[in-house]
Amino acid sequence: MILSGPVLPELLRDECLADIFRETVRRQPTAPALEDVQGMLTYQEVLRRAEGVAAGLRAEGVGPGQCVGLWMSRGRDLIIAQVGIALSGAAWLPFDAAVPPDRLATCMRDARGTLVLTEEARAAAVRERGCKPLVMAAMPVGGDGVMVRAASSDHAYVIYTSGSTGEPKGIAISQRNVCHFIRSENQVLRIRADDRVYQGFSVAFDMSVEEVWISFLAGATLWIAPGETVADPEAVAAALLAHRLTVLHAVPTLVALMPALPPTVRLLNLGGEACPDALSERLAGKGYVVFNTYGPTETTVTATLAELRPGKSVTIGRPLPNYQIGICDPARQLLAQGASGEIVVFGPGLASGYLGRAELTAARFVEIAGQRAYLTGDLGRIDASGEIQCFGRVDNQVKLRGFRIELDEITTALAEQPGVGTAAAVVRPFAGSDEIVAFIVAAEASLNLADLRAALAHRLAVYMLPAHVEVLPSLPRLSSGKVDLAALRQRELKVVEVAEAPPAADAHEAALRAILADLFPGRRLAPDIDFFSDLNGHSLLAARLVTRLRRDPRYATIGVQHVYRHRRLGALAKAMASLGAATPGRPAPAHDDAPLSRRFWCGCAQAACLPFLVLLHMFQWLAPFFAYHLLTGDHDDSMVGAILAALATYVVALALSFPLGILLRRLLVGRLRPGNYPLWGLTYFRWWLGARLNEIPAVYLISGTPWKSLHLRLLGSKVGRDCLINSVTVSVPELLTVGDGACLGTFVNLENARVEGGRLIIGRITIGRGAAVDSYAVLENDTSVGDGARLAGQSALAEAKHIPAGETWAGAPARPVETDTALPAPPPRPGVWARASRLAAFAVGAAVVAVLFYIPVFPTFVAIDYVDARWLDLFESDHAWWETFPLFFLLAIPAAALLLVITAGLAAFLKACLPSQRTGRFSLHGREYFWKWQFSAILDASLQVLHGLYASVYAATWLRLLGTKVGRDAEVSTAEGVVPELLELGDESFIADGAMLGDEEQRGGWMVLRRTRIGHRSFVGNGAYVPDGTTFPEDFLLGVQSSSPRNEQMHAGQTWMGSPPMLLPARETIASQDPALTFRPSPGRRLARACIEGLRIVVPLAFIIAVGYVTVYETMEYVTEEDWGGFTVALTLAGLGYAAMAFTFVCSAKWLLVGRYRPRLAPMWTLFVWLSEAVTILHESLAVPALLNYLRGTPMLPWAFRLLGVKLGRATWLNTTDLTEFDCVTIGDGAELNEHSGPQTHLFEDRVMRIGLVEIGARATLGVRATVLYDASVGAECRLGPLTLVAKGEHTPAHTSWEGTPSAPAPMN
Amino acid sequence: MKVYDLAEVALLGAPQAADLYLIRLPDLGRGSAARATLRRALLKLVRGWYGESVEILETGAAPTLTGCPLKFSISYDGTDGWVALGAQAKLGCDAVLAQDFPEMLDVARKYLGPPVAERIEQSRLRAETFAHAWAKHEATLKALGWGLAEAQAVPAMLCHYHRQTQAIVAVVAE
Repeated sequence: MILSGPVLPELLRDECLADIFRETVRRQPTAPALEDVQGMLTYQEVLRRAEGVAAGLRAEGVGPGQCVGLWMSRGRDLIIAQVGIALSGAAWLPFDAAVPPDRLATCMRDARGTLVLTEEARAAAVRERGCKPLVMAAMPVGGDGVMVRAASSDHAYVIYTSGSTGEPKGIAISQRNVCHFIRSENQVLRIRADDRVYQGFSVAFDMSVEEVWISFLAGATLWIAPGETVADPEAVAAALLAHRLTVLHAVPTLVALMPALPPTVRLLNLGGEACPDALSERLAGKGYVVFNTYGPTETTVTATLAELRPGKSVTIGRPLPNYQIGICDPARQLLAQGASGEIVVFGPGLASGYLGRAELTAARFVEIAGQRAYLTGDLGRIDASGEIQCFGRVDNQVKLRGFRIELDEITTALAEQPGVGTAAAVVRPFAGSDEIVAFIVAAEASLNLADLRAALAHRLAVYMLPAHVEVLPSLPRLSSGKVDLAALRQRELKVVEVAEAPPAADAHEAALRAILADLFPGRRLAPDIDFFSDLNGHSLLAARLVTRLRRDPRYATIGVQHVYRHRRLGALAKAMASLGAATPGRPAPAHDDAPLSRRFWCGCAQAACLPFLVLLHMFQWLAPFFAYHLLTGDHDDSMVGAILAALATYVVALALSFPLGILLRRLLVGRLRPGNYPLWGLTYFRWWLGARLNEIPAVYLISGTPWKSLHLRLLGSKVGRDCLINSVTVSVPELLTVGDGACLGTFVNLENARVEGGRLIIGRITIGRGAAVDSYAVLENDTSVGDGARLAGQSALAEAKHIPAGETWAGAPARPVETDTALPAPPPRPGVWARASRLAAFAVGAAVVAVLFYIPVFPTFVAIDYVDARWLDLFESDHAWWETFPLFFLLAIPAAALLLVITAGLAAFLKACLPSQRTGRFSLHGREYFWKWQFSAILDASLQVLHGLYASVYAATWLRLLGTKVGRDAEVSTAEGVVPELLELGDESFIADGAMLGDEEQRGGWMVLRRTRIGHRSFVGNGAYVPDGTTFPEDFLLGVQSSSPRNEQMHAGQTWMGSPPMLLPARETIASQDPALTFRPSPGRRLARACIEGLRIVVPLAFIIAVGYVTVYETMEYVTEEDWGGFTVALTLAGLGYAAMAFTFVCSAKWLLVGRYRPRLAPMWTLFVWLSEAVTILHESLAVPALLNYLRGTPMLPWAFRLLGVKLGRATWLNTTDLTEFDCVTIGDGAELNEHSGPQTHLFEDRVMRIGLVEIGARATLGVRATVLYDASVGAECRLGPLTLVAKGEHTPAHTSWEGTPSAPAPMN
Repeated sequence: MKVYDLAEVALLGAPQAADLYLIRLPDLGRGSAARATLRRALLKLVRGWYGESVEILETGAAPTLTGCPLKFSISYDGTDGWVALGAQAKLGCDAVLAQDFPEMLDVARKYLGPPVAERIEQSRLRAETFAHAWAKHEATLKALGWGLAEAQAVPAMLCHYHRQTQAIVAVVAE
C-alpha cells in the first residue's frame, strides 16, 4: 500500500529560493523580516544586504551549481548570508558554530567547495584548513545589479550527516526539492504574514530550513534567538512571551523541559526526534495547534505530519501534499496496511542522492513499484486509521544523546582490533540508560578487554565507545546469515568483567567490587585500579558508590572522603574494613511545640485586647473629625473656629499619645526581664501587648530629636545625654542602654526580644558611649556595641555578639573591618539654655509639621460637606451606614485626590521656604542639623498621606518637586532616608522597594552630608543600603538587601550583592524583552498606567476618609448627647467594622483583580504588573494598618493570610505582614517569622517582574529582616539569623542554621 | 550562559574582572588523555595572553594557574570537556549528564539535603533536576575548595547553567 498526501500540482513550480524571497520582498517590502537583539530588518533591507553578499560571492566567481560553506555564529548575519548564497544561485553548506574545523575541512573537500562564508574570528581556522574564508563583515552592502537565477535542478543546500565508514556523507537538496517542500508543508502549517516565528535551530540542522524559509515564503517575521537562549528551555519560554512569538519549531526534548508555552504561541511544530505520548498529552488541546513531523534529511526536512490531539497516541501522521509513503519488506515489496516494515518515501522531496557516493545513493534511493523511493531505515506501519507509526531504526544508525551514530562504524573498528574475530554493536539499556553494548567473538584466547578498550579509544569518538563489551563464543544469526541484532539486544549480559582480575582479597573487597561492577560495567576491577584515573570515576560516582555501600550496615559510616583518600580499590577495601561503628548525626535544634490550649488562651487574651487597641487608634484618628463636625453644621458656626478647634484637638491627641502609651505600657506590661520564655505564655503575651502599645504614639515626629531619648527613658531605657536616636524600633525598651553621645541611625532594629524554636528570647542591648549604629542595622538580644565602636549600615549583630570599644564592624553577620577615618573631636556641648531652647524648637517644629500636614484635610472636609449639604444631605438623613458609605466613598475619591495635590504642594512649598541643604560636616547641635531634621519631618509627615505615590509613575515627579534631579524614565519604589536635594537619579534608573538611599552619616556629634548619585540604567535592589556620598556608575546593579561598595570599587556594568558587598561575575539576565514593555512604553501604556496608579493611590485614602465620615456620622449623636459609654462602644464597633471592611475590600480586590498568583514573568509596562502592585499597595495601606498590624504575633494573622491565598501550616507564628504574592508562599507547621522577615516572591529585574514560589519548612525560624527570595526554600527546622538572605533558587537543608547576606552556614555553637 | 570555543576565547582576550568564559572542548571524552589534551589547550590559550611563564600547577587538589591572575575549573561530561575561566576569587565548574540511576534519591538526600531530594522525587524530570542540583553543588564546592561531604551546607553562590544535549554544566563564580 502507498499512502498519498493531497495531490496539489500547483505546488510543483519551476522556481528557486531566490524567486520565493524576491516575491515576498515585492509583496511586502517594508514588513519586518528579521528581528533580534539588535533590532528589526525589513524584507527590503534583508534583500539589499543579501544582494551585497551575492555580489561579493559573484566577485569570487561563485554561481549556480557551486557550494559555499557557511560557518558563523548565530545571528542576523548568518540568515542574511544564507539568503545571499541563495541569491547568488549557489548552494550553502552549513556548519554549526561549534563544529571542529577539521570536520569542516573534510566536508568542504567532499563537497568540492573552497569558499567559506564566515566571520573574522574564524577566518584563520578556515584558511589553515585549506579553504578560502570570505568574511561577512567585508561583504558589500548593496547589490551589483546582476541577477543570476539558479535552475530548479541546482542544489540549494548540502547537509552532512554521520557516515557508516566514519566519513560524513553529504546530502544535496535541490532548489526544486526545497521550494516544493516549503510550499507543501505550509499548506498544512498555514504560517501567515502576521506570524512571528522563533528561530532557534542551528543552520546545520535541516529543521532550520522549515523555520527560516517557510517564514520567508509567508512573509512572516523571524525572531532570531540569541545563543544563550536556545539551550535554556526557560529562556525560550520567556522569549516567546516577551517577543509575542506565535510559531515555534522545536525538538520535543526542548518543549518537554519548558515550563509552559506562553499564550502567544498559536502553532507548535515538533520534529527531529520521536515525540513521547506523555508530552503529546501535556501539549495537545491547550489552545494552540501541535504538529509532529517526520522526515529524513534525504527527503527534504519533513515527509509526514500529524496533528497531535488529546487522548490520541502519537503517530507521524500522513504524507505532506504530493508526498507518498509506503512500508516495504526487506525484499522491497510494499506491504499492506497494518504490516510492519521499513518506511519508504516517494515524491518531489527526494534528494538526488549523496554527493560523490553513487553506491550509497543506489543503495538508499531505489525504485519501488516503478517509482523512485528513499529507504528511510526506519521501522513503521500504517495503522487502521491511515496514519503512520514509526518504531525506530531498522538499520544500524542510531541517535544517542543527540549524536547520530552508525553502529557499523563501531563494529568495523572492533573487528579490526587484533584478537577480535567477529563483532556487533547494539544500543540497549545498560546500567540505567541506553548505551552502546558491543559483542565480540575472540579469535585469540589471549584477548585482553582493557587493551581492546584502549585501542578503541584511539579510533572512535568518545560518544561511540561501547559502555560494555561482552565476549561470546559466537554471534546469534538470522536465517539470512545476518547477525541477529534483536537477539543481542535482548540477551542477558554478564556483569562480571571477562578480563583477568585477581580474586577479591576479602569480603570487603568483594562487596566493593560488586557495586563497582554495576557502576563501571565491563571494567577491570583490581586492587591497583585507581577509582578516578583508571575508572574515570568522579564525585557523583563516588557519592553513588558511598550511598550503595552504606546500605550495608558494616559501611554505615563510610563517606566520600574515604574514596578520595583511598583512590585505589585495594586501599579503599582496607579502609572499609577498618571503619568504626556508626556515629550519631548532627542533632536537630530543639523546638518547643506549644500545646494548643496555651496558644488558644493566649489568642483569646490577644483578641480581647484588640477592641481596646482599635478604640485608641480610632479616637486618636477621629478626634479632630468630631471637633470639626461638632462645631460645623449650624448656620452661625464659624468654619475657621471649627478648623482651629480640630487642629487643637489633633495636636492634643498627638501629644497625649506619648504619655498614654507610656502609662499603659507601665500599667499593663510592667518590666520584662531577660530570659527564655515559652511562646504563647504570659510573658509572651505581655511582650506582645507592649509591642502594640509602643505603636500608639506618633514617634516619627520626634525621631532624631532629644525628645526621642526622653521618650525612651520614660519607657524604661537607660539613655545617656546628647544621644541622637532616629527612627529605631526597640522590642523591649526597658532592657536597652544607650551611652552618652551615641548615635542610632534610621530604621535600626533593636530586637532584644525575638521568637525562636517555640521560645521567646529576651535579652539586653547595650550601646556604649559615643558609639554609632548606622541605618538598617539589626541587633539581637544580649549584644553590645562598645564605647566609640561602630556597627555599619545594613549589618547584623547576632545574639551574644559584642563589638569591642573603638572597633568598627560591618556586614551580615557583622565582622570587624578597618576602623573608619575618625571624625574630629565632638563639637562642644551647648549650654543649658541653648539645650532647653533647642528642645522647645524641636517640639514646636514637630507640632508645626503635624498641624501643617493636617491642614490639607480641611479642604477635603469642606468639599465633601458642601456636596453633602447641597445635594445629598447624608448627615441629616436617616440612612443606614451601609447606604451612606458608598456615597461617601465616591465623594471621597475626588476629595482624596484634592488632599494629595494639596499635601504634595504644601511639602514642595515648605521645602522652598527652608534653607537649601548643603554638603559638608555639621554639628548635631547646630542649625544645619535642625533644618535637615525639619525637612525630614516634613517628608515623613507628607508621606503619611502620600505614601501611595511611591512605586508609581508619579514618584519621579514628587521627588523632582522636592529638589531631586530625576532622570528620564526613572522608577522609584519606596526610597527611605532620602535627602532629596542631594540625590540624583540617572535616566532609566530603578530604585526597588525599601531601598535606603543617601542615608547621611551621623556619629561623634557630627552629621556629614554628601551628594548621592545613581547612574543611568542602574538598579538599587530591594532593601539595599546606599549611604550618602555614593556614586553609582552607569548600568550598575546593587542586589537585594545589599550594602553599597566604596565608590572606587564600582565600575559601569557591574553587579554587586551582599553585606559586605561582593562583585558578582555576571548578572542573571532575563531573555531580552520587548522594549515597548520595559524601557520604551507607548504613550497609550503610559496613560493607562497613570490612570490605574492614580486610582490605586486615591482609593485607599478615599476609603479611609469615607470610613471616617461614616463613623463620625453614626457616632456623633452619642457625643452630642454626651453618652460616653455608648460612644465608646459605638466607636469600638466602628473600628472593628472598619478593620473587617478594609480587609474584606483588599481580599476581594486581590481575588478580583489578580486571582491566584502563579510564578510568571511580566514586563513592567503591562496590566498584570499594575494590578498586582495595586493589590500590594491596598494591602499595605489598608489591610495592614486597619487590621493585620494588630494581629501580628497572634494566632489570628495566619487565618487572615490564608484568606489572601497563603498556604500556611498549623501553629505558625507571624510577626510580619510583609507578604505580597500570597499564593506563591507556603509556610509549614510551627514556622516562625520574626519582625520584617519573610518571603520576597517577586523582584523587578531588567524591568520585568519575576514572580516565583517560596517555601518555608515546618518549624523553621526566620530572624529579624531575614528574606527568602523567590524560587528558594527553607528546610524544616532551619534557622535563619538576622538579616539573612536566601538567594534565588537556593534551599537551606533541614536542621541547619544560616546567616548573612547572602546566606552561609552559621558556625555551630 | 554563553559558551565559547577556544578560538573565540583566544580572540576575545584574557577575561577581565567580571568576565567569565565557559569554554567547550567538544568530543574530548574523559580520562588521562582528555585531561592532558585539555591542559595543553588551556595552557596554549593562557600563554597567548600572559606569555610563556604561565604554568599549570598541580597541587594535588584542584590545579591552578601560575604566572597569571586567572583561575580555572575543569569538568568532563564524558563527551565534552568544559573549562570555566575567569579572574574571580572563587570559581567552580561541573558537568553532569542528566541520566537516571537507581540510588539517585539516596544520593540526593545525603549530599544535597532532603528538600532537594524531595524536589527531585516530585519532579517530572528527575534526572534533569538532579543533574542541575548536583552540578551546582559540585561547582560550589570546587569554587570554595571544599571536598564533597554529606549533610554539608554550602553557601548560596551565583550559579550559571548551560545545557549541551544531555549534559548540564554549572559554573559558580564570585
